[in-house]
Amino acid sequence: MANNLKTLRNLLLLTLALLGGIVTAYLLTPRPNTSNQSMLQTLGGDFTLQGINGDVSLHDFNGKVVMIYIGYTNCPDVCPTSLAIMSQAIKNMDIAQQEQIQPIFISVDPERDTPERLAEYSSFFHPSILGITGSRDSIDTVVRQYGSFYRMVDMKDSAMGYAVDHSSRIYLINKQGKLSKTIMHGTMPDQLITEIEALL
Amino acid sequence: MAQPEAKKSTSQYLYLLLLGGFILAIWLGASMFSLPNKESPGHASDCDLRQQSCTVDIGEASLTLDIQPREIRSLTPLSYQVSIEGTNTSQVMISLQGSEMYMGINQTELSPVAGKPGVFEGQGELGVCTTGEMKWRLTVSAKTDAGQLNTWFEFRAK
Repeated sequence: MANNLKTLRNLLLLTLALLGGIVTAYLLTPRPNTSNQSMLQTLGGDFTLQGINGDVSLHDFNGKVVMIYIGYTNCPDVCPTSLAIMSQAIKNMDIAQQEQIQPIFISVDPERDTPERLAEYSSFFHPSILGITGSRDSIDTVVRQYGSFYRMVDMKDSAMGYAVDHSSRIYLINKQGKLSKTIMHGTMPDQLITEIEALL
Repeated sequence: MAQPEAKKSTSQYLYLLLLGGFILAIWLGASMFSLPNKESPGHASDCDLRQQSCTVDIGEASLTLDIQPREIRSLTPLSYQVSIEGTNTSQVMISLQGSEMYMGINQTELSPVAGKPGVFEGQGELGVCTTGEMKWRLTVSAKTDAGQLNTWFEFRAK
């Protein structure tokens, strides 16, 4: 009888351990897509790349609204169009607003876009645009973080040697450093101003 | 005589407790790990969005997607309209992905149209500057009372 009770007690302890394990697994299991959560993926985040004056991190601009465009300086049309739209939007805002905005141009082509070349190219559009790039690894990390994309395409018949297919959109970062909105390519400066003002 | 009786009843309680514990463990384990995921992987449609609006029947629900303009090109704004009948829908999202390679994340959450239950609209684009034609997959994901519905369409665009 005493043996039976001992066996029973051990079995009970095992059952309790099993239940404990199941509850622990339940608590530790991540639960994606709870009913009221957005289906949109979470993008954005801090990064550090290099400009003409050294390291540039997103967190350097906490307290400002940051506009980011990802491209390269040999880009034939979409990058100049987007940078011109960013530039026009800044010029159309008043000085106090301009001081709260930091535009950034990230190049995914560090082989050709040195920090010096990037600084010259970016300032052609607007003196406040910071041109930055980095190692292939750090560029890939930023591109992934922002759900962006690029790939090198050989252009044997072109003097450029290669072109870069890439995402073309403007990323708006709020004053807390969080990605707030992605702006579609071709958005007009007035619409961009409205989106920036909502974050100021 | 009283002691063995007490022991007997203790062991009976312990057996019951053991049985209850096992049933609870099996129930918890089954509900957590064994049930199929409610999110179905999705339904592929071979309807050509560049020719017409496309309707897909998924169980009791029917989903219609229309894109304007029909000629889909990179970096050109696209207007989406999704209508879902047969179930209540709380959220609709459109995701554009490269079919043959990763082309970044291009997601648009559609807004419900006032006065038209089950109808959602929004704007998006193939937000990529490419040198050649690419095969794209457009996935409509909807949260409905019938669970999550995923339907995708493929097309080529430059």
